[in-house]
Amino acid sequence: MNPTTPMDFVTLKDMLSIAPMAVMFLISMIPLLMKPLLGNRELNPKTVLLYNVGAVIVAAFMTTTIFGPSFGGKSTAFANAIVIDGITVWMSYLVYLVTGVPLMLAYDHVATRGRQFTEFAFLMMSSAIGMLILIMSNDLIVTFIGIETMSLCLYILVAMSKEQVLSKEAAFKYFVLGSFASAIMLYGVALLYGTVGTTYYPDIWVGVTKMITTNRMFLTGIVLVILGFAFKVSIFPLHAWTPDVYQGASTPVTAFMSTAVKAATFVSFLRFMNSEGYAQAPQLLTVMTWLAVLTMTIGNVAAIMQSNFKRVLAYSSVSNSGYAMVGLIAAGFGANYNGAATSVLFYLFSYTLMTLGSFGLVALFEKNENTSLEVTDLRGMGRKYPWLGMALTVLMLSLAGIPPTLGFFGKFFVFSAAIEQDMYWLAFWGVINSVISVYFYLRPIVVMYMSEDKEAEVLPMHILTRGAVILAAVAVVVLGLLSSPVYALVKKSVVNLF
Amino acid sequence: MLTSTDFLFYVLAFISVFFGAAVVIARNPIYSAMSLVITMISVAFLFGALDAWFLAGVQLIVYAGAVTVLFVMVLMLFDLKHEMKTFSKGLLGNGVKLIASGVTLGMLLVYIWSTYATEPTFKPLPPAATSSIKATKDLATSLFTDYIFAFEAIGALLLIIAVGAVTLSRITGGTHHADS
Repeated sequence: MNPTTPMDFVTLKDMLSIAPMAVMFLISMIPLLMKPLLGNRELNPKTVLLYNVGAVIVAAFMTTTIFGPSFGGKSTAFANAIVIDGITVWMSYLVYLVTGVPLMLAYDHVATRGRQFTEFAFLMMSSAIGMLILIMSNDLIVTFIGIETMSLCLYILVAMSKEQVLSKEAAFKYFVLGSFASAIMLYGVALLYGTVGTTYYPDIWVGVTKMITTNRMFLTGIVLVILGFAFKVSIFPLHAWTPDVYQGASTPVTAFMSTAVKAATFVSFLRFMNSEGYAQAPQLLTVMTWLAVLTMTIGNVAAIMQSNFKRVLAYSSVSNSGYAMVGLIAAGFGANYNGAATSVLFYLFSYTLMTLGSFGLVALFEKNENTSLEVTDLRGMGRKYPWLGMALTVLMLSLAGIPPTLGFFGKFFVFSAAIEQDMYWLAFWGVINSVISVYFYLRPIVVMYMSEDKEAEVLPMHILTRGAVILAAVAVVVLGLLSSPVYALVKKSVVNLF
Repeated sequence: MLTSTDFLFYVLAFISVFFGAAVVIARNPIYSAMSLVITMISVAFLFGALDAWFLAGVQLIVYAGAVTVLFVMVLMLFDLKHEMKTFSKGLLGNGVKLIASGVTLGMLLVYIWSTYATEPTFKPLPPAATSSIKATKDLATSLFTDYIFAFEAIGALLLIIAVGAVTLSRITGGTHHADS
């Protein structure tokens, strides 16, 4: 018999499965409540940081204790609305990492520290809540709510920089375009609901197998939902907002946006593509292949032409979406979903570490909120700050995909997944693009060590930011060397997906 | 054969699409807001025609009543002449916009039409509720059982956005910063 009252319906298991998220949300509200209670004075930023990073650590600890014993297993909660499996657990850790570190960067950074840091931290944590909803969602409606929670916080976070013109323009652009993309996605969800009758992912997957070739309204729905995802991860025709918004946002927010948003959205995208039925639609495969190829190429070629370091990294993040899309296509249209999905998760993990470190370094260079860091401003830095110089070198080499760094293995697994599914065309363009990208990833290194005409700038002593940059670089090397155990761990998280 | 329900649907659908277009086409923001009210009301009637009386009521009270009135009040605070000057006028730009939206609309229409043509029998609608009270109760039950997670998540989202709106009203700078 179906339960009919909420009390019968929401069980302890349901509550436990969202406990880390709920606790994180509740703790992040404490500083926000303290502010008005203490006479509306801004709290000490250190207190705010401690509460929020503490919340992240508590959530990570709870994730380990609650889900750790059954890691790799799969269960659903709240009437199939959310699913707890290996991917959820694995990506939850990633979200904790990419929320905690940008919070520390924001604490150090001049454009975000100040009279609204309490609200800033709360909104960043809320955005992370949206991501956690997104990665565990098993239902298109929940996915949509996750995306909206994540994005609405981001629109405000982008606008919150102390910089007065560019950040506001970026926020408004992102808001208008993002709402448009959300509307497109919602229309797709409506069409899917109209043809399938439910919005649960497993039903959609069955629908794909049955209807993708026969029912055009269903196909339109699928395409519109894919477009909605594509906007959030900046796939080619919908990538134009990326450089402007990444440049306009304060650097800690950019670090957060370019890593966490992409990782969380890609996971949901992966879940959406988890049907063998997509292989019946070769036209869709062709379109998505070209989107991936164009995303990689346009990202890399445009990055070569940029002189602003933040814009270089923004275009680099566009092209990285293309690489992840290669694995996604191999997962959705190939025969071996688990293998390819593992490669995408591994790629997201490596990309996140590298990008977080790089933006951390950009944050160090910004003396006031109006600084715009050119690549040439890195002159002489390699000798003056050997550790940071070394860290940037490692991060850039890793982004370019030079072995034995983590970035190399990320790309290697993604391209092998494509080759395994006979998608040589994708792998070919992926490799070509990796070669193109070496040019602009090596330029900062060359500037840093080889031009001598100017004395290097004096960098502020931001312990947390410096620590994050150096730790990211160390992690990139160490995890690169240990890539096969890490890969096995990710694989274990994916293996029981069905 | 055109039944009276069909006739009602076509009239309401036409009104809602016509005024929906007017929301974006009208130059004067007040006209846009008023067109939005009419669209909302006709959509509320469409819900009513589907026996979803609760939704129809909520649509009327919340959207047509509260939200649009707020819109109009906020519009009164702006310098409308200044806002209207920022519209792009060029023939080329408008042409491109028209073509883009026309192509999208055409594609969607062809897809939906061809689906109806090839697959005339659609999934049957769930049995209509016997009374409007029963329908409301069904809605409440599914909101608090099947969709409880989404429902509560929206609650959290509203709280977050309230905080965000207050925050946003107090930040420095803006795109109109230079001209004030």
